[in-house]
Amino acid sequence: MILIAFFVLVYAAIGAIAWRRPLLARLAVREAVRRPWQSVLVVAGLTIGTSMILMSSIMSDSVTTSLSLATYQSWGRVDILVSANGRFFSPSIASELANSSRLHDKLRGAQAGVELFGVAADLDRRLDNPSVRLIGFDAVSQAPFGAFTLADGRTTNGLDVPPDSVLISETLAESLQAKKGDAIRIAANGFAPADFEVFGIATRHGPGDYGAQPAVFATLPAMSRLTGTSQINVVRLSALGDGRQELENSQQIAPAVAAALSEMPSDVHIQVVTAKADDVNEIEKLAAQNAPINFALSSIIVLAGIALVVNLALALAEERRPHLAVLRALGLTRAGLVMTTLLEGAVYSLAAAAIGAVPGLGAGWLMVANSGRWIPELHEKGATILLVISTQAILVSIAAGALVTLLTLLVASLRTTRLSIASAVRSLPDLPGARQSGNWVKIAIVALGAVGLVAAAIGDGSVRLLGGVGVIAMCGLLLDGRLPDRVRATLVGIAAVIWLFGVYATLSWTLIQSDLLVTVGLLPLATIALSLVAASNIRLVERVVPRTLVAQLTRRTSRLVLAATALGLVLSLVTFIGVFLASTMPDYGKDAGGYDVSVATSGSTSFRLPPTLQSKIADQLSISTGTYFGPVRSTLSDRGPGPLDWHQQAVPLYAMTDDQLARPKLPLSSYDARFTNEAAVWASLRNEPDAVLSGTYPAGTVVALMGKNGPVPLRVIARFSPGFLTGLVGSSRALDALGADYPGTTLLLRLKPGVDPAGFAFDVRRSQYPTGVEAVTTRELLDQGSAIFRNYIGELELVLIAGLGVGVLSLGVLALRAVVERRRSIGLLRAVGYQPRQLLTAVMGESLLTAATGVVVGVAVGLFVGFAVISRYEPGHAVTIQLDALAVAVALIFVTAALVTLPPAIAVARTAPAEALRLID
Amino acid sequence: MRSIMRQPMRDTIVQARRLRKVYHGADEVEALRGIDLVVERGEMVAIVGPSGSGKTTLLNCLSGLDVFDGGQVVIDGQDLSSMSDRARTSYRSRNMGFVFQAFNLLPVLSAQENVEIPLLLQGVTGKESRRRALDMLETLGLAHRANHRPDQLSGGEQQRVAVARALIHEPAVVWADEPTGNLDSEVTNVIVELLVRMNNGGQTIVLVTHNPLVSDRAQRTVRMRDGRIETPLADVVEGAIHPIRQAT
Repeated sequence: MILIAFFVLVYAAIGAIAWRRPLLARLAVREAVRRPWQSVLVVAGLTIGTSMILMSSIMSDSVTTSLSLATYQSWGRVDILVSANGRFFSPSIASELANSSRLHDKLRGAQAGVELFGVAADLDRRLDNPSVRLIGFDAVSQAPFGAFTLADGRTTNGLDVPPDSVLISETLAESLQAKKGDAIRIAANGFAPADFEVFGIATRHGPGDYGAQPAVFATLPAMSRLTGTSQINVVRLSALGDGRQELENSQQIAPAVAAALSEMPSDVHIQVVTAKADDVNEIEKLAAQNAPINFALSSIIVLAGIALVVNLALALAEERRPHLAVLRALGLTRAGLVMTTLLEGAVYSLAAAAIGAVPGLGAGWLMVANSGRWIPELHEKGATILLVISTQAILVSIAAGALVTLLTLLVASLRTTRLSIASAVRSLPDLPGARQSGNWVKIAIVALGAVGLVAAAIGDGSVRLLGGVGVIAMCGLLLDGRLPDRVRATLVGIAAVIWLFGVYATLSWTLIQSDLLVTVGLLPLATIALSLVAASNIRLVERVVPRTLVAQLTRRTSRLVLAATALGLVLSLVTFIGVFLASTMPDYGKDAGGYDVSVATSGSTSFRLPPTLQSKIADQLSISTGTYFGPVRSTLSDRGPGPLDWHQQAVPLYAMTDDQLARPKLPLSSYDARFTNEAAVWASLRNEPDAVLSGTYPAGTVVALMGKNGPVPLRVIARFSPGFLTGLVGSSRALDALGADYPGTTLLLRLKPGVDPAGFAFDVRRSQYPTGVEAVTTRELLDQGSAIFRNYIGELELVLIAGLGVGVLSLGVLALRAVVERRRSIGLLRAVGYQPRQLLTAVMGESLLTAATGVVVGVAVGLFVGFAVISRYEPGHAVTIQLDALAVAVALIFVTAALVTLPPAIAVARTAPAEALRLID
Repeated sequence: MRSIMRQPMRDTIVQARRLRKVYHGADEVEALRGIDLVVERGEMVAIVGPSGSGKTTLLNCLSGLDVFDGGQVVIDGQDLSSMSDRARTSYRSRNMGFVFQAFNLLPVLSAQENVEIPLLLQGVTGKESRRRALDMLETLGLAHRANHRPDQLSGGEQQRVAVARALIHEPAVVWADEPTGNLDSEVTNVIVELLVRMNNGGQTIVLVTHNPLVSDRAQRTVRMRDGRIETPLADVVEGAIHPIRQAT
């Protein structure tokens, strides 16, 4: 709202200026409409700010809202879970809590329950699902938690569900193609199976969405048929209130619940978790972690857009220089000139911001529509993806886009209005010394340099990077007049690049992840610095190309820097992402350690494959497997840069025997920097009680799970490739503290040569029906593991295409400007004998040379950042460059640049000398 | 050509003392080497001399378009050398008019709108500005071209619009830098007659020209060479070396 208010204030001020200074307003409007096609191109270039900001905003709002809503729905009316880490206890705890004087008038309801994982098989459809949540509920106390709404329209609290019948969730019904009345075989992990009838299919309204996963809802009598006991392992409590108030109430009464529990006799340690509030808070935090990443990537494209805007402003100012000088001569102050530029900019930026909202909406819609592919939480929560487009988001993006453009034009105009009237009025270049800085400017430079020095010395991450560049830039400014411009610019550029790359190479992965500004800042700064070096030395091409043809490019360093920066920025992003993708693509043989198929059973520690399948196995590794479901906290998120506080999560656990640890047969993809080799990692895993491996969390993460006696912190010392053995792998001793059971087995199978892994996995699933065995190829697991990132990058193509559009557009606009701005010099060249084709070649050459500069700069910066990031993200991992993809991208840039430059170049070539040499416009 | 010894100054409007201007670069060039010059109110002075002699530099420094490195310029009692850029700009808008060789009309504005500029910059209302601009164009015989843009006007018409723009706010001094440099002899005569007519009406005009047709119509000619005024005869008025009048 502050931004919108500021926007209104700024435009109101601009309106007031236009009202009070009609001459300036008239000039601004006339300039804007003078060359309509040029203005259309300018506006098109400026739309990028609003569209990127709006896209980012829609993405963030939609994902946050979808996840938040799904999380609320997945908990229903359940706010607090009372459990003993999966152990069973007396159901009287629930009734005692409901009647506790401490909780009088504070609870909506209390319900005894059972929560387990297991397998379900529809015996009529001959389909099974190995990963099902089994949710037992006390039908008598269900009312406060809401009634189940069934697919056939009935509602039930469970009281009318017989003990030999169960409700199943919509998602389970879909996976089993189950219908009401089907026979269903259910086995809780570690327990014997039992057969039931499907009483109904619970829709996702109310308690039917509890857990947001394929689930069986069984009354306690039905559940006791599975567990063989009437005891429970959870009490669900519902606090009063709705929405956020309900969450706050639950957090307020949690201590009273704990106090009440402490007064009850129990032989197990019972814990109280404000599960819903914790989950909602963490999911919102997680969603918020995605927002800065989207914003950061969009910002880089916006920066490229800013470079285009500055270039346009410089080109327009160059063309209008004599006119600006006349106005100054006639008595318009420099502030008045700035005001005129601002008024014209206000017309452009407002039009661009309003128009930019349209592609922004489209891009946002596309990103949101596909967000389920790369935001796993959306899938895990079974969230309905909502497209949230608020009026505020549109207004904010228009305001932000317009203000960014306006601010850019303001800064550019401070430079362009600084002219020598006497020279400019006669279209002559400013005389040497006309732009010498005053003493106060020098003092300001020194002061800023000092601030930069302090920032570089004591700052961290982005502050340090920026501070150092500031010091180098200030030194460059102070050397003005003491060194030739070319030498000065080259030295400043090289020094800045060395500083940026040098500092970035020393930063930790944690810092790079947590301080996105480091990378977002590095890309443009390094691109500008390298562009400066390249542009300052582009004169070298004059050795091979006639100077008269390329002088417009080689003698205008600032323009080349800006054009190369716009293109280089985008290409650096393309290159960086390409390197990251190529380097993190699964190496199926290596990443799976030679295993072809993973077979997981959740309820059986020893199962045998039929001899026909067994004969196809060359080698196998069997690991005891269990699933922890409960509070989890981690110092690094598996899906984002920040830590995650307590939240409910299912974590697969793999307990390895001492023998397996002594002769490790699992493939590590990276490990903690303190280890020198894999043997040291395995030794540490054997000896250190808190060391674990993970296919989910990066090395260095501390993951805390709730154990028998409170939180159990586990340190991830090495990781597998994403997707391979997700969860935590540790010694039995390390995982013992969790008090978890390991009722299942994971078999990693190496097949004999010639056996098709996919066909083998299918045969395993079919042979084990209805016990619910999960058999997949390791290739599939690794693909799933890397799919999230690859899909995310796929979505970013939209952003990158927009960025490349900006880069190429800048080349086209500059070529078009060449026609207008250089009429006289073109006329002169034609007059002295240059052929049209030579001028056409010159303009095309300029554009392609600019593109080449941008490409070289962008690829160099992108490669560096790619190497630097990969070496931290996956230490020891080989960095791969997809040269073919890069070559295609570069070729596309050149072809597009040539295409957009061709029409203006033809116009230049067709210029009649006499016409071009006329003095008037 | 006859020479007339200057009478003691009664109403000085432009006074330059020991004016120095140096262009700093790889090689320093002293464009003005201690110029002393006085222009009386109502005078029409032509500054002549070979290319590179410093004519335009002198005009720019006297008119406040450019800063100088030494000496003093006093216009109508106001010392330009002590003014900030902002004050100088403001002073120009109220007291000076300009005519340039390339006409320098703003291409996006019509003839009338170009003429209005000085008035609008002074805060005169739009209605009043339009009225006065039309009057001025009518005086110069351009009323029928008032709504035409510069690219729809001939060179002579453009320069007449430029003269109108220079005169519209009744400035103390009109500065003209090669006002006929881009015009043929016929149109040159028209412009010169126009300037002389304005001068006869009391308008002070200082112009730089190569064209004898123009300089011959000035009341006084100041000849420059190598950054200095050639002064075969001079008198001293109020401490300033006053170059000889060269009236035709």
